[in-house]
Amino acid sequence: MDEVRSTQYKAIIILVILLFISFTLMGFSQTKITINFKSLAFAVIYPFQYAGVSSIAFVKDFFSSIKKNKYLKRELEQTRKLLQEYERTRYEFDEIKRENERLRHLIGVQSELEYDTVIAVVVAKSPQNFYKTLIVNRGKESGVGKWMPVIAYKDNVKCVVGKIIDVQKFSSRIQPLIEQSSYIGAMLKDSRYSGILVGQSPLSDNCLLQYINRRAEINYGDIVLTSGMGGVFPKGIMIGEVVSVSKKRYGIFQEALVSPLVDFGRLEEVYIVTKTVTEEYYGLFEEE
Amino acid sequence: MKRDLLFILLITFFIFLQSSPLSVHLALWGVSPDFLLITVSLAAFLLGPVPGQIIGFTAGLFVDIISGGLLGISAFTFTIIGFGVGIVGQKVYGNSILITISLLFFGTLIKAVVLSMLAALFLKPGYFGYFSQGRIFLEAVLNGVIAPVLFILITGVEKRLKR
Repeated sequence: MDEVRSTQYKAIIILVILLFISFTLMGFSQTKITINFKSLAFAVIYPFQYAGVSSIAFVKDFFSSIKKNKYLKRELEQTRKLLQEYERTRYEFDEIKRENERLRHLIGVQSELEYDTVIAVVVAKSPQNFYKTLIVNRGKESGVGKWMPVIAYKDNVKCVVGKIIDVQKFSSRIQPLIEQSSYIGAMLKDSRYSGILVGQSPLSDNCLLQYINRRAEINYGDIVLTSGMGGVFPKGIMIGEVVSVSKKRYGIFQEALVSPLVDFGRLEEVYIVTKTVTEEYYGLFEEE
Repeated sequence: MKRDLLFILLITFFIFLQSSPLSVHLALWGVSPDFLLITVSLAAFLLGPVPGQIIGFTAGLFVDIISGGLLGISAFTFTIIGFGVGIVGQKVYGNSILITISLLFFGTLIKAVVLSMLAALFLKPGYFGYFSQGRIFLEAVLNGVIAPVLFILITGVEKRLKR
C-alpha cells in the first residue's frame, strides 16, 4: 500500500516538474533563445525526415517506373507532335509578350507576377491535426528567406499556399494560409473590394475574409485574389472562392468565408517566390 | 526495459509517419487518427503514470519541434494524458479492450480541451472553439477504434519478447 502511495507521490512530483518545464517553454516560446533551440532541433530532425521520405519515394518510383515503361514510347510520340506545335506557337507567344510589355509600359503598369521562383518538395507536415505547417526541401542554400510567399499550381492556375516562417540551410517551414496566425491582404476579383484574409485552422480549413466594405456585393463563388497589400504576396494571385457571406445589421464591414483553391492534404510541390520581404514593412501589416 | 524500448521505437515511428506526406492516406474526411496519443496512452496504461508522463512529455516535445507551433503545448498536453491514463490504468480493472477504447475516446477530448485552452491563452482566443468541433469527435472515435488493435499488437510483441 505504501509502495503504491509512494509511486503516486513520485508521479505527482514528476508531473509538476514536467508541466512547469512545458509551461516555461510556452512562456518563452517567442524569445530568441527558444526560437534558436527550435531551429536547432528542427535542423537535427530534418535529415531523418528527408531520408524517410526519399526512401519511400525511391521504392514507389522503382515499382511505378516498371509500369510506366511501356507507356513511355507512346508518350514520346505524342510529345514530339506537341513540341512541333509549341515551336509554332512560341513565335506567336513571343510576339504577344513583347506587345504586352510595350502596352504595359505605355500605360505605366508594372508587371505584378514577375518574380523568380524556387521549386520545393513537401517532405513533412505537422504530426498533429491541430497545426497545419509544412516542411519543404529548400532553404537558405537555395536563396529562400523568411516571409517569402509560397504558391502552387492547380489546374494551371497560380494559387497561394502560404509563407515561409522558418528557414534552415536546406529546409524551410511554411505557414499555410489556413493557419489561424496567417494574415494575407486579399481582394474580390470582380468588385475589387479588399480585406484581410485570416486562417481558421484547426477550427476549419476555410479562411475568413474580414474588413470588406459593407457596400460590396459578394456572391457565392466569387473569386478572391491577393491584393498585394502587406508586402508579402504579389498582387493578383488566386486564393480561393467565397462559400458564404456574413453581413451583420450593424458595423461598417462584412465578412466572407473563403474556400482555398489549394488542397493542403495533397500538396506535393510548391514554388517559393524569391522576393525580399523586409521585416519592418511586413510588421506593419501582420500581427506577428 | 524491453517494454520501454518498444514504446520509444513505436513513438519514433509514429512521429515520422504522422509528419510524412503519407499520413494523408490515413485520414478519414480530412482527420487523421493520433497514433502518438494512442501510443502514449497505451504506454501509460501498461507501464504506469511515471513512465507514461515522461514518454508523453518527450513525444510532445518532438511534436512541437516538428510542428513549429508553440513549443511546449503538446509536451504539456501529452504529459497530462500520460499521467491521467497511468493513474486510471492502475485503478480500473476489467476488459482491457473496452478500457482502452474509453480511455482513448475521452483522452482525445481531454487533449482537445487542454490544447485549445493553452492555445487560447498563449496564441489567440480563436483557438478556444477547437474542442467543440465535429472533427475532434471524429478523431476521438478513430483513436478509440485503433487503440484496441494497437493494444493487442503491443501486448503480443511483449509476450514474444518475454519468451
